Amino acid sequence: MLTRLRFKNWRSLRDVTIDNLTPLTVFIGANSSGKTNIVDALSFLRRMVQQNNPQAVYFQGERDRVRTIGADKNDPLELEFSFKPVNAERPLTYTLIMQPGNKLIRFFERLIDGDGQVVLQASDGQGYTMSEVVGGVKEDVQLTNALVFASFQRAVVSPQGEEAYIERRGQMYSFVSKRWQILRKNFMPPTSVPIDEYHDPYSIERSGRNVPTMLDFMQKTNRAVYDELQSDMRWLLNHVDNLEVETDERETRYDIVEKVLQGQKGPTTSTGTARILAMLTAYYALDLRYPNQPGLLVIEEPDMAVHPALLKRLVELFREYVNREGYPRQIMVTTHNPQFLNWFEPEEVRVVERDEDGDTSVHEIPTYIKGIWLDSGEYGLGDVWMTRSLGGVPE
Amino acid sequence: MSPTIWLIVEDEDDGLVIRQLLRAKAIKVRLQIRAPSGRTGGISRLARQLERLIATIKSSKSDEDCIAVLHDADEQNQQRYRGEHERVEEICRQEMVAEIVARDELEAWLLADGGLCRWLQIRPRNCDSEAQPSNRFRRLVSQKTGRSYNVRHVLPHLDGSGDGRNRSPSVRRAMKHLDNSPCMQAETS
Repeated sequence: MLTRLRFKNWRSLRDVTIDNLTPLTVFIGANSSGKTNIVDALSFLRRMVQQNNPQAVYFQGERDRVRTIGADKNDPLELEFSFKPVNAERPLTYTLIMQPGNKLIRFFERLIDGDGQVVLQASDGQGYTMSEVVGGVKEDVQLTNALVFASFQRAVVSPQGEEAYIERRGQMYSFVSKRWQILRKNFMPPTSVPIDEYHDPYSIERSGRNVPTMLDFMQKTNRAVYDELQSDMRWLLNHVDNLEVETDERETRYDIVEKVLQGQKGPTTSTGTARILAMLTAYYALDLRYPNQPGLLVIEEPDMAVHPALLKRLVELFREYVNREGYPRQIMVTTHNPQFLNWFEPEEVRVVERDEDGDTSVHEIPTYIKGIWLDSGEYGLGDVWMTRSLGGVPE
Repeated sequence: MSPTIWLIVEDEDDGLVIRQLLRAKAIKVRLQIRAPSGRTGGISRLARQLERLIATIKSSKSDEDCIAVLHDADEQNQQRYRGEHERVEEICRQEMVAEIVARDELEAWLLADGGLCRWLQIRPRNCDSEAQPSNRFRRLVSQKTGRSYNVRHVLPHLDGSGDGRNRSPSVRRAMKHLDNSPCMQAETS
């Protein structure tokens, strides 16, 4: 599970640390406060790891848009997260540092264990060296492959043979590249995709485009997981009888079979229904491989196009997901919706605001809010938010 | 950093008007607006949530800051919601926060503002005792803009002159309240 995030010179996040993350976290804030910048940073990290080529990812149109406006030209951009692997007592902290140069960006990465010991540090570029510090002894290992994330994929065994560190590196690589499911705010899965389009069946695309492929794969490879998804779908959406997925010579498509249509497929799928399906698909895809490994689900504005009367069920379902025994899951969402926020606990909320200089800050809900507003049961957090008492509202 | 006035209002629009009046008068103070949640209820909502709003502000404000409560009080409204008005008054007294009453409605203040009246091509005057001036005011603004009433059309024209001679005593009292508040004194001293 992620316990902490830190951003430096990343868009409006000039220097922001988010501590004490809970299994379920909701980010609230005004429009353009920086919520999406947080999600984009996680997405950026994931792509870096998945594509194993930071220079390429960085230069894919990101270069001019990721650095904080006005940041010193020599000041590095840093993305950092602390992560608690299963059965570990203390989190590991991973940092990606992007140091501006004359024309190129140099990439550095660092992995620090719970004792503050550098487990691994690496950089890209020529003469790439990876340093392994084990038991206080530094070992330099020359690699021919000059890709920064090669460090995560290669099992570099130090002379001492520290298997625990190798395992940690593997967990970290696997967690970021395979176990982060991210849906951007305007995600909207199509009902079908052509079969000649390649899509990953395990990892949802930010737009939700590969939902039909994922569902098809899920149905064929793990019926139990697919049935659980259908059950949750029925709980949230009373009109749903079941979900049918099929592939023919042209496309893979899903259809919602509706109760009122006596077993027939609905002619259309509403936006809200499709978005709920995408969220459930992203979540249950984590159960397909290594279900006992940690998984992170990040969803921007999951409440969008969902009926207000369903929001309680949605939050309760999220809470159920993160509390499942043996399935370490974490969910982060963003919202502008006070009715949605009403169902969260204060410690689950992070308020995102921008100051007069345009820099984003992120803070927790002060503890006194509970005693003053919430304990009586008369008001929810969303109600308090609308009094402007929490911050994170437009001026 | 300038001191902060934490202004509790019935409706967010009222806070925006006050913010603009302070700007127009070049009063250097940070204004933090707080309003009860919910769409309906006006004074009832305010009376119900006021203690909590004040307690929340007191939990985070600095010593130099001050709190003020602004609400409408036209005659009709005051009779109908006598209990709620008394409750607001009582809470303000107990909590020792300034109570600013707009007689009769905040729109009466706006009808006394020279800049706004110039834009509306009417003569600014004291409408403090006019019954429900908001109807007349909103109609005038709609006629001027050709659109339904929205406070955003009004704000750029406010020049803060509504507290002048022969204008609104209610605005004058409100501005005096704000000017005399401890945080303003801290700023000018």
